[in-house]
Amino acid sequence: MKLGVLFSGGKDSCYALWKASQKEKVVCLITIVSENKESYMFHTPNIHMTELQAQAIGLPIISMKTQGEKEKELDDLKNAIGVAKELYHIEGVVTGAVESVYQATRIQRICFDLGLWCFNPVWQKDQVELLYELHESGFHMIIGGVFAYPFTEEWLGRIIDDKTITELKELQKKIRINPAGEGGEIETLVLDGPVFRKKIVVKKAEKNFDNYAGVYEVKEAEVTGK
Amino acid sequence: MTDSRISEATSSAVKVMVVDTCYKKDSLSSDEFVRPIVQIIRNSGIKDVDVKHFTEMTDTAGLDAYSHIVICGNALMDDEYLNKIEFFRWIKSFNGRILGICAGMQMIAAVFGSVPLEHLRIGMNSVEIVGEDSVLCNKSFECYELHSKAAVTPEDFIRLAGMKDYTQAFKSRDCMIYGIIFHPEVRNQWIIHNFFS
Repeated sequence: MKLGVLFSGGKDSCYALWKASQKEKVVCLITIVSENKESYMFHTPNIHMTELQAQAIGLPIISMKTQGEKEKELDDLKNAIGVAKELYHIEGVVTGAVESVYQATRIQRICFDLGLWCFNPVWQKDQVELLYELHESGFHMIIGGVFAYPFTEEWLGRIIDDKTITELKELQKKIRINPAGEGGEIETLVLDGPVFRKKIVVKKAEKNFDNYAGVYEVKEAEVTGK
Repeated sequence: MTDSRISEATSSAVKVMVVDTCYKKDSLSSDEFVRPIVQIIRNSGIKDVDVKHFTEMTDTAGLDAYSHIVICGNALMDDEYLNKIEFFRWIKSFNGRILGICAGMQMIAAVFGSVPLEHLRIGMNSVEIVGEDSVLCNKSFECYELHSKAAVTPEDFIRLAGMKDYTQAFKSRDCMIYGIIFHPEVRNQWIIHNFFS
């Protein structure tokens, strides 16, 4: 089955892409670039990196902008998926939805309306298990944004490794943050992994942080051989 | 509603078969519809859990070793299972308890002679309880629904939840077979725990 993957460049969509590639034929990535930083539907930090990631992965990408107005942004998503159906003849869409019924419901409805299958391979997956599986499978992930107490500026740009996962687990116990950031506490950026033919090297980045919220904004990066 | 772990005495006596109704064995859909159910069962303290694709359910003799069977749901576009009722005939002869979720519920109804209705539901909705029962408890609650077809309560089954012509849950009169149209892995894991308690 030919599939398109809704791709934000974060760990969940990269994991979904990886899983889908093992079982079906992924023919394109689909990205929505939202101008609304508070979007419930779309990941925003470092979304500009998805073009470079697609290049490193070796898949074409359909990238479309939305103003990010609630519900209207769904029309933009539907259009983007429609373009993927027309250009790449996709028969289904893969998402990285983990727990968000809000996101999953809306994407399921769009797919149904377009006569497409909808796959959510990360759905309801244990968050800590997901982080370990990604790390142990060779995904190179960094923290691209933090949006809650007690995350400090030092977390920005940090590599997600065993030490980071242990600290996130401790925070889960102490103050009930979601260790994989599904509650919006953290956003991630994937630079390399099993689905990448080449890797991404960050050359220059800027930390913008204030009051337990900030973004590690990649200013300059390049695709290089592994 | 019960605690998320069932008692040690109960869990050690339970052996579960989880039936995958997705379009093919080890499909991309099974990560969405089968893995979460297996995870909930294991997290409740039950260790003895096996998974089989529905097309592998031909050797029914081996089913006697199981105390419970859970038949999982599948994707909205997936209707492969609907024309393969012969792989679900064991439902009538199995001696343990059965829980059918979404497509699983439809196949229970089909085996007992009901024809599914076209009925699209995507998202969170209310479950309207209409019959007393220890698995579903007696209060209405919100559930996650994802289906394009719904089961009709077979004759000799008791309707437990629903509205007008739409059945959200039923059970057999001996309380051995349950069907629910919604997905309990989303926000209603307690139903799976109750089924095993």
